[in-house]
Amino acid sequence: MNRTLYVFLAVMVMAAVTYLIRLFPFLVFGRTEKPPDFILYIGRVISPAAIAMLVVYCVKHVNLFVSPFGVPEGIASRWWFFFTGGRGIRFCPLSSAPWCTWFLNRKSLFDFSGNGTEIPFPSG
Amino acid sequence: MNKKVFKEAFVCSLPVMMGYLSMGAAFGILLTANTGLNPLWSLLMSLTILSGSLQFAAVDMIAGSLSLLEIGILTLFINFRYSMYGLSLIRRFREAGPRRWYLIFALTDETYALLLKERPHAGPGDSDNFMLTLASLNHSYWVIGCVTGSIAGKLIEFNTKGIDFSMTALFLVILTDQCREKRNRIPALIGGAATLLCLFIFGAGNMLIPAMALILIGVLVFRRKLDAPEPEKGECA
Repeated sequence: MNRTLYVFLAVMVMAAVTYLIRLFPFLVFGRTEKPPDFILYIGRVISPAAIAMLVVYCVKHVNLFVSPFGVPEGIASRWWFFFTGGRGIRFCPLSSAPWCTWFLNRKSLFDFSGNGTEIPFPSG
Repeated sequence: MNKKVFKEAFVCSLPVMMGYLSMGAAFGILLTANTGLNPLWSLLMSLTILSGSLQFAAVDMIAGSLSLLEIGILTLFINFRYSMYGLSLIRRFREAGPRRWYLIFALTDETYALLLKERPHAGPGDSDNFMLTLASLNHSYWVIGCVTGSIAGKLIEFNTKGIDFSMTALFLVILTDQCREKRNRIPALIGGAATLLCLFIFGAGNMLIPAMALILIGVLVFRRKLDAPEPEKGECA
């Protein structure tokens, strides 16, 4: 399979499965009063478990024992709490968090090894 | 289209606009930098998938050339929460007629939150138009953000180190929102612990599928403890 076909099929699989997931309750429970308890249970517990899994997956390459010791990620994780107190308006801080880590990574602020090199800002 | 309804939907969607444009741009830049795909792919993905968490994960999946079966299973796992959103909207969407097929497709975390919270003041008959306008505005912000980011990634030499944190930030926000409800904390703990365990046993490249299996086993084993009765919420649950 060539790469273009692979990427196209991958996108179609993701799109189809995602739409089917969204459609599922309307197709299966559209005319019933209450879905089975087991479905409700799995749906309720899988969601936070899967998201926690993805958080761990995202930081899988962060090494706490090697400079910069995950400090940029730690600061950016707390970023939005400083603005919202965890109460709600999530979009502004959420959008700034990645750019915060990007900045911290640029300036080598947390390279405590003494071997870090200054990475320039993009010329654009 | 009733101008008053459009104006109300637009004002409601402003916070989402800021988030989607920025997160979409981060996704577009990452997709271009990590996979070398051109902006048309970004357009296709944002138009047909419309799921931030999955699209960010897709960058890694495509870059790592995962099999289509693995991609399907991971999609199911990552996005399963959407099916729960639908449960509380069955009645409202049923009244929307054929428009419900698009409303179902456009049911993201943010759109769902707005649909639950916001109702149009224009009039009771405008509810369907309001939902449709809100959903399509949010969709358009996401598409614009993704494509713009992808084009920027093509045009500008970008060091993306750190931008991939947008994925972590997105998941952290969703997780924190979920963990405000006490009953979600133990499942989240099971998810985190199982994944960490699999990271140590199987390594970063092979951890996801065993982690998902372990999470399923964990939530089934602890069902009695986790499935304590809750007060009924929504229309159907």
